[in-house]
Amino acid sequence: MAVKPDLRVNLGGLILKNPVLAASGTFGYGQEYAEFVDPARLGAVVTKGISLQPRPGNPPPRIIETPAGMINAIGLENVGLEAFVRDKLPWLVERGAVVIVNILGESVEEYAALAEGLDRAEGAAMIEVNVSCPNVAGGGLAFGTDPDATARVVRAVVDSTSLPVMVKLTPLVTDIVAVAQAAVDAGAAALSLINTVPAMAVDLASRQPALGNVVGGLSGPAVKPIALRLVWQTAGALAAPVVGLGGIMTARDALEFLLVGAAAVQVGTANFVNPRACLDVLEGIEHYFRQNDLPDLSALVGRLEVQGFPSRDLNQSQRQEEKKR
Amino acid sequence: MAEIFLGPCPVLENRKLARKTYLMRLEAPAVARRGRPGQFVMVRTGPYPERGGGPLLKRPFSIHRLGPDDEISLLYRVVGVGTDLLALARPGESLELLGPLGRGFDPPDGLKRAYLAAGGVGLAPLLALAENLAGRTDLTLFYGEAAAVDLPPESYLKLFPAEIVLTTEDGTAGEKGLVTRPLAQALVRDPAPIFACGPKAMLAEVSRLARVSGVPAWVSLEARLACGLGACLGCAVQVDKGVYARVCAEGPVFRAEEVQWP
Repeated sequence: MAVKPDLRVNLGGLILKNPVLAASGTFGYGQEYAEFVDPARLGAVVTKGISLQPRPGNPPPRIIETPAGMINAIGLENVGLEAFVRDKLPWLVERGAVVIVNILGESVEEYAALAEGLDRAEGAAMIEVNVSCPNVAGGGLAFGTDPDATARVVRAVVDSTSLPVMVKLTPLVTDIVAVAQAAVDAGAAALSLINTVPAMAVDLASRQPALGNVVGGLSGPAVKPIALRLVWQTAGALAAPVVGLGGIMTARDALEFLLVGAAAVQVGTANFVNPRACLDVLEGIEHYFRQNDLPDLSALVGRLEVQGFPSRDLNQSQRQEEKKR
Repeated sequence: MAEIFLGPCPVLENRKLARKTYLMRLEAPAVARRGRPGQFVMVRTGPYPERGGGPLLKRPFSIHRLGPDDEISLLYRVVGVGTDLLALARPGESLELLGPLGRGFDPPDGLKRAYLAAGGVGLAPLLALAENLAGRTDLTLFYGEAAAVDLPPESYLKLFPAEIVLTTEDGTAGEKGLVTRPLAQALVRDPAPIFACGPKAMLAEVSRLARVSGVPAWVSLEARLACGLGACLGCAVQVDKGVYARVCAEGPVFRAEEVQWP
């Protein structure tokens, strides 16, 4: 009989029992999925992004389905740090879940204050810094598209907490490696990518935007190829662990992300389609490892066989030239 | 615990009732047993959502009828690709279903008389409610459509244990005009609590009529939503200045005065 594969992951010092994480904003605070997923079975739960103060969110409509995807403009509705620590976090901790708390701020100071607050609270295992939400002014995207601004936010967070820090990156950049490198140099223990792709949809009949916020973030199967390429490129250029996400619907999708170099994956929009998606992905990964006699994740992670391709850091030469100038 | 069912349900019947209106009967024992009038289910409409082979998200439908026995019925209108595909489903096929979900109607005890107000396919949740209230509450259904071709056959409407007042906007059947007109007249003669479902403008008017008549009203709202479980926060409805509720979790049925009408 095949031995049970060892699916543990070291995510910048945080040991997870498996590489399947629920993505921020798609899994609520865990409780919403209690009937379908025992959060303790997952590698970790990344909670809905929290800000220092509660946020009401954007006016509806907030979501629109598009071919093989959906655009959301929720506007980071959340209960705020205080209520999160008091009302939401304990439920997950009591159930034995590993909790990664996604944070977002409108200023470097707000990010730092959030990190400090979570450092004092019991139960968070890691912080995921959202520098890439496309849906609110100052929702972090302004930071995430610029390596220097990303570094400033990350440094402020790292200096305010003893928790390991993961930085969630936007696909909306010319050079993902430059932003990722800046985050790591500023103290990030891990990276997660991609956040949603800025997008919009309109209603021809009413001549109005489909979303109350006009623009939003595209997710779902439609963005998977974009995410796969960015994860492949980033994981190849940096030693820090990269958590891949973007359109992962099935175990097969997740395995593809591991193959191109992701240390772990996050399941997002799939949770909306199938509330059991995280467990289905996890069980599918276990099944694949058993079937193929793979002992642990290192037997697959980053093992993509590419022949005759010199470098996957597509912007390397460009960056070097810029430095010269 | 497992209060919410997730799994395939066999289609028993999928029948066209009017121009774009269909009735689907499904074998869904868990939903038939636990569901309450006003609750909804999510139905997968396409073959391969995870590969872009059909609509990505499940579609929400009010439970039209709970029972008999292990059955539930959905009344739906073809309005887009999801419902278009649903109309193609044949008996013997199974559709993945999630439910029952949300907060349904919560009629007060000892209700002697009530008005049901339906605009278009807003008729859907009111049959389950009417059957629940039948025998103890005197019911009148005010039901408005755009035109006669949108009306289900008279034999079908006989299922409602209620006196029925029909309106069409073009006057091709029943009274000409909006459904809120005969409702307003009835409220003047004989005020009674209202249960309503329909377009937002209609519900706003129902809410206003309830307020001026001094009767309570419950409205079932429609919203675009992704998860149906309260996680995505996509189905927000404004309940106060800068405060949103989730149609899928705090609703879909709200007290009319809870909602901030445009």
